[in-house]
Amino acid sequence: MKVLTIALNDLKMEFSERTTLVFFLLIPLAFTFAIAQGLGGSGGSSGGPDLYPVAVVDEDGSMLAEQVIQALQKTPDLQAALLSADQAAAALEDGEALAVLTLPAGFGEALAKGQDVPVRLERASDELEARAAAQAVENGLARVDSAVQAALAAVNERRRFQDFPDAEAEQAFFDDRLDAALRTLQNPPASLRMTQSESAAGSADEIDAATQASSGQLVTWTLFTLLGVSDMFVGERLLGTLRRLIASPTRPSTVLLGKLVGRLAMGWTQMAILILFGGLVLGVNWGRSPLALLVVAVSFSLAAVAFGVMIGAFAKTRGQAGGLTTLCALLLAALGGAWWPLEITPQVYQALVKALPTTWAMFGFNEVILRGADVRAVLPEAGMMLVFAALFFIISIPRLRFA
Amino acid sequence: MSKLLTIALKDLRIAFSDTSALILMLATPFAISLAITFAFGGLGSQGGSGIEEIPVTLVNQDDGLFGELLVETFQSPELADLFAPEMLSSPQEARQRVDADESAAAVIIPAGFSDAVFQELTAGEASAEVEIYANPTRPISVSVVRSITGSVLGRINASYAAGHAAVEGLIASGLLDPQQAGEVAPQIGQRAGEQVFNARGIRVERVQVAGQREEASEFNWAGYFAPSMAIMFLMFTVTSGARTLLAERDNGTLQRIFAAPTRPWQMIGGKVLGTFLIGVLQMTILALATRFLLGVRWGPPEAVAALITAVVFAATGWGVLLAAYARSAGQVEVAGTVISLVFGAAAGNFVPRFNLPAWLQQASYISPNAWGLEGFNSLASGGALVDILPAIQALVIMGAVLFALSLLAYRRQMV
Repeated sequence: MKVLTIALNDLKMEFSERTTLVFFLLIPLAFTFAIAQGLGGSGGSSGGPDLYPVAVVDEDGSMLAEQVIQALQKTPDLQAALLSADQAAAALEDGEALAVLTLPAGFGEALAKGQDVPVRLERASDELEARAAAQAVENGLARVDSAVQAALAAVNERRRFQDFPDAEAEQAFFDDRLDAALRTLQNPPASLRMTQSESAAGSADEIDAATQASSGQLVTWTLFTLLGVSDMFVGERLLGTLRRLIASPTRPSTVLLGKLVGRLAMGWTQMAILILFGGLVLGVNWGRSPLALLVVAVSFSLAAVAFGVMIGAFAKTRGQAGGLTTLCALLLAALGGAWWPLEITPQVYQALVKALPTTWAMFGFNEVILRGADVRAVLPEAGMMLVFAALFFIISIPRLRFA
Repeated sequence: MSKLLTIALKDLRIAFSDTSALILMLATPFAISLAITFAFGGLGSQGGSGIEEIPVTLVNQDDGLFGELLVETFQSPELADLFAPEMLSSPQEARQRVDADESAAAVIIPAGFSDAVFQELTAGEASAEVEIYANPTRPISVSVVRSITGSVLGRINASYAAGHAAVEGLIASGLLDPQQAGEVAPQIGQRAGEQVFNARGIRVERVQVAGQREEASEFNWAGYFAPSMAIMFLMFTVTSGARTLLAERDNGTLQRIFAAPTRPWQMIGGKVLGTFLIGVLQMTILALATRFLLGVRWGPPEAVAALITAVVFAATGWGVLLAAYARSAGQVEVAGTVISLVFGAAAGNFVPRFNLPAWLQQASYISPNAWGLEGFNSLASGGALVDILPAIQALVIMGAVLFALSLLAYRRQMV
């Protein structure tokens, strides 16, 4: 009962300050939203414009260059305008073109001979839209290149049977075969099918940026709240309120438990709000098993609050506790994979960060959210986090000073 | 003037002898830069993404050329750093490897894949489909596997298109009897396909708007995040400086100082100068530490120094503005943290700036973070002082406007 009274008292005190709500609620929600937006484009799930305006400069003037341009103009997601070099540079600068493709002199001749044909593709900026436009030009060019090579091969085969009567007939045959090849490549025989485990969230075809961002933000911001228990311990120790509490007929273990329960309740409330926000506003799929999600969240919160107690045991002043909380929350989150996916880091890095509880939290959340895991599947991750919690408590509790 | 300097130097001394302030000002941004360097570049190098040795499981049930081509591509020496391929015979087993997170993706080539492509030449019915069974927890590795598989399939389809175009063209020209097509089409198709396969074709040279080849300026994580973290934690420093101004008023020490032969402008000026000097020293230490300990390239020293001064000037302007209009030190603390985090998120201190929506990038020019980040990025990628003059100009104007707005409210606030 005393445990609950202490916990409720701490909660009341924390939430009586308006500033708590800012850090507890507003900033985490704003960040989750902004980072989901920021990652949205790179993941490919955010929609771009229907047509990317690009310019094409023809320095070659050959028939083949003209045909490549015409084929590019028929590419579904491109709006390709044929411009002079000066006009194209101006269009790029004014933002009217997102990318400029330049076909150099000698382009047609080299292409017809199957030689290496360098073309220049300049994009307006590093921004997503410009990069997507440049990628669309490259995709279109690859299809056109394949079709041109196919048409040239068809011309060669035709020659093996019978020579063309004149250049005009050869050109007509080439044009006809280029059209045929482009049509064939619109519905090619060899294709790719993306699949994934039936329990996995979303589609295997695209990265869901909001889902990727939400678990990382959840870990980052609840870390601030849970490690914040350190400031409470140090603050009350310095004010002498802990000593007074111990002087009453209350055992130190009850005080400690009450403080931990209060802080954990804060962390769980924050997690619940972030999970609801992710699900309802950002459309995040939090997996198939709420129980598995709960197991990961609870074991992570225990490891984090135990780390907070450890900071509280070592920090001498509130300033130190606050500084160390910020430092550790940011570092643990960043290193553990809450800010960037661990798969893009070197193997040695991935091995070393397994020594952090946040890495196991991210493993657990990813299993539940991305793979649709059930409770049994996340027991190893939850177990590791509980081991961390026990370790941090063992280190810190003997060093805790109440006075 | 000497009083102003004395006050400024006193604040500087206090800040740099306070352990908790040092943790926030120096240790945290340095530690995050260290983590990012470790994660993406390897210490001391200027490398880009650390993606390497993607575990990919290959199942080839095809006994034709195309299945072999796909497998050889993943096993090729050119891609040896990128992939760690393993061959399995059972699709079921391969999927289990992915489900157990031991593989990023399983590439499953069905039996009769090559025949299905060739059959299209004559029958035009069958379809050849390669399956990529993806690991949802490794989306980036999956996209790399997908891209490589897609490019090989693109070449296979180009070969098919060549054979198809040749056979159809010969039939249309009356040089090949449709009845005989079934017999000779595969030979014609193979010849035409080989020609396409061996053609080198169009090669795209990607160029950024500045004109340099893109490969030469691969994204440098450590080079981006070192200044990024330094600027973000600078904002915490200046807003904390502003908080001490109001804290001194709230505690009554300001009034006591005013009672002494010290003019208000000397006191306030000294504290603002102190905040500015703390910021400059903080940024300089971080630049030197990340340069010499982590190998981060910042750019020409004189340009870096000029930009640091301008960024700190503008940032101090924001701090002073907060102090001018806030009612209490507590309010400055909350508003300062909010502004620091919001500016940081909007300007790209947490995710690369170019990944943010265009509207957010534009809006973030209200912050010193955006101008500073663009300036430092320009210097790190080979720019000189002349290239960052617009950023410096914008920062100086920002600082001047903010100081002017603050002056309007200062007297009411402090005296």
